[in-house]
Amino acid sequence: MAVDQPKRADSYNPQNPAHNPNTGAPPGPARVEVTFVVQGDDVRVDVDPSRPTREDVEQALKKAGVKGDAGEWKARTVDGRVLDGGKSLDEEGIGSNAKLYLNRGPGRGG
Amino acid sequence: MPILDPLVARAKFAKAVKEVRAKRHLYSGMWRLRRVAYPNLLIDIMSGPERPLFTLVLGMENWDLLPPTATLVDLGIRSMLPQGSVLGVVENPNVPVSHLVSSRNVPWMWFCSPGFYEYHLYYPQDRWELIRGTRRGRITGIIEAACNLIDRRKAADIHPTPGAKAAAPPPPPPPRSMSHTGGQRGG
Repeated sequence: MAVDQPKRADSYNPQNPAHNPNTGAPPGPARVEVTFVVQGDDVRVDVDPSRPTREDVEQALKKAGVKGDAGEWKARTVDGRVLDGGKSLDEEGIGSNAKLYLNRGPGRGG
Repeated sequence: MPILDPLVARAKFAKAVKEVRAKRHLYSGMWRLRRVAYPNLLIDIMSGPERPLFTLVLGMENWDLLPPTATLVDLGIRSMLPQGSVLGVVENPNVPVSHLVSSRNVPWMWFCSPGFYEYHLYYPQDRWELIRGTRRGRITGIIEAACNLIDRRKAADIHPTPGAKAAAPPPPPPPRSMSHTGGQRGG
């Protein structure tokens, strides 16, 4: 009676594209590190620059321990430009080591 | 008018200044600490690392029992900013309700937004206590909020009104019945 043997993990093989990044394996999405300043606290977040910025904002708020609706928050550049949550960091021209500021907007007033 | 015990007020002010000094590196290019002169904190609002636009004067004599009063003066700290020029660079002019407000009754502008004394006086139902002690109620959060109410990218040249007097000490709160100028502004 045949007994199923547990599959043995592949040992390292440099010819295997999955094991050797120099053999032409398709690269994963490039990651960039961005600092989000959440009203006085800074959190560094490793993000995929091709995904919508709102996902980065959610990730940063979660890391900063901020609860609530992330959709209320906006990301801004240091000069005050508000980023479109539907656009990616690539589309917004934001590169690695950038600093973005998160806030909820001015609220009622006027 | 000071209502806090002077010793308490100074201790609270010193704590706020310590926070500003500890966090200012995060905000280089947005604002910089200009001067500390109890009970006032003077902050230069920047449009880039080397481009100060004007100075925010925060009056903190009752911090943080009450939020700070706030107004804008020229970089020489000699004159109130001309209202028309600054209102012209308020962020997002397409929004019908502005948060940087001038009045017919007083020659200075004030910030009509949560975290500023004048706002909470004008909208007493929106309590300062709700944000006091939170990130939004931190002094750095309030300074950032002030910066975000101004479109700093325009980097417009702001010229003081000739003959206007200096703003320090910060103005007293506006009366409740104060009406805002500018036809498009709500209240």
